[in-house]
Amino acid sequence: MKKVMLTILLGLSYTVLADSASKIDSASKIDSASIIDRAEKLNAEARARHNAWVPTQRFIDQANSALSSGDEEGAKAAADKAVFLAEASLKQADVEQKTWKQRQLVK
Amino acid sequence: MFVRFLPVLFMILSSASMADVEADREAFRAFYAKRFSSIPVEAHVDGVYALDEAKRAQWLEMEEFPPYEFSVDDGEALYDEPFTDGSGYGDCFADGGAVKHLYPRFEGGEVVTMEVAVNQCRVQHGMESLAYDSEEMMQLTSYIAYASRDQLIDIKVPEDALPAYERGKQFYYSRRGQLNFSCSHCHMQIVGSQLRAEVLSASYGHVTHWPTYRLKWQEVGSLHRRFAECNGQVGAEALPLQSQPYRELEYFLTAIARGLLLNGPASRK
Ligand code: HEC
Repeated sequence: MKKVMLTILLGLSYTVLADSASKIDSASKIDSASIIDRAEKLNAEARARHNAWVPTQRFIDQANSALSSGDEEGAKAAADKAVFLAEASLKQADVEQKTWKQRQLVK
Repeated sequence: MFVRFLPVLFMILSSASMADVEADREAFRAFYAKRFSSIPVEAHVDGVYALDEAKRAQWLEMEEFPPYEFSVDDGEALYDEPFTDGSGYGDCFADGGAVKHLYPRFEGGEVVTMEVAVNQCRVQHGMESLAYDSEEMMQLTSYIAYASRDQLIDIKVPEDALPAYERGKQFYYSRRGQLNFSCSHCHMQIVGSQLRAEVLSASYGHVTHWPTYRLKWQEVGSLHRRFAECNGQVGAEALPLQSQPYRELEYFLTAIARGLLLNGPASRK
């Protein structure tokens, strides 16, 4: 009886462990893909506001090709840069909404 | 009591915004007249060649055999070719196409540039519209620019066009791209100074000479193509030719250039 319990317990903990291990594994995959996804959404927003930056798309492309060649770390690094640039371009659009007026020539 | 004054207040407010275009024009003229006090402000229609003697000499040499000449000739032939319904461009544009000084216009709630007007004319008469970067479009607009030479820019900004004018102005003064530059930073603040091998020209007069043959392009290209290139230089994504923001930018730059001489097509490096 004891042996049976032990086996069940071990079996259970094994599946739990294995399960969480595979979760960690797919989490890191979802992670880089979702950073790319986020970068793409932000860049689309910047584009809709006519304020996208050229290098943002370049880093998105770089992240995508790293991901498809299995380079998870490379994909993340490039996607992070793309997110950073896309956020900065949106920030610029926000700030300029007001500050352009200060540059206006007045007679 | 207050209600009685409302119409008056409204009149003051709206006439103030009407006057803005003229005030902007005067401010631009005054700015460049002061910055380059040794040349007449109208001379900026020649762009950088108004500012740099050596470049001007090279340019005058290039203009002796104008590289846009074929484009004008081919454009004239296209202009005279009847549409399939028997009509032609002459049914849309007066004076043999000498109409560039009246464009962009504000019609149907939008800015209609010369290129857009050419396509509107075609579609009205059952023809397909032309791609904005097509050779045919460049030839037609080269011919129209040539026929319109020596006219003075004479566009009006009616009351209902003021929001479009204002958006164009905002585009001009807004920082863009990773380098965080606005048009005004290069063509106003540091105008006349050297940027790599180039000297920065004044914005006043930037619209008078399009389309233009550029050595760099090895062909005739449009004003919006130049906008796209200037956007790209600061790491900003270029917008499509004849997109609404570019048309409104052109509208702003042309409105403040009212009274300037048309001198297109031209050649540039
Ligand atoms: C980083 C500096 C820079 C910025 C910002 C910039 N330009 Fe330019 N632009 C240039 C340079 C360099 C040239 C080529 C030399 C010249 O003619 O000034 C040029 C040329 C031009 C020309 C052609 C002039 C001619 O005589 O044919 C136009 C039109 C123009 N720019 C419009 C714009 C507009 C509109 C913007 C804003 C969207 C802008 N530029 C932003 C650097 C800049």
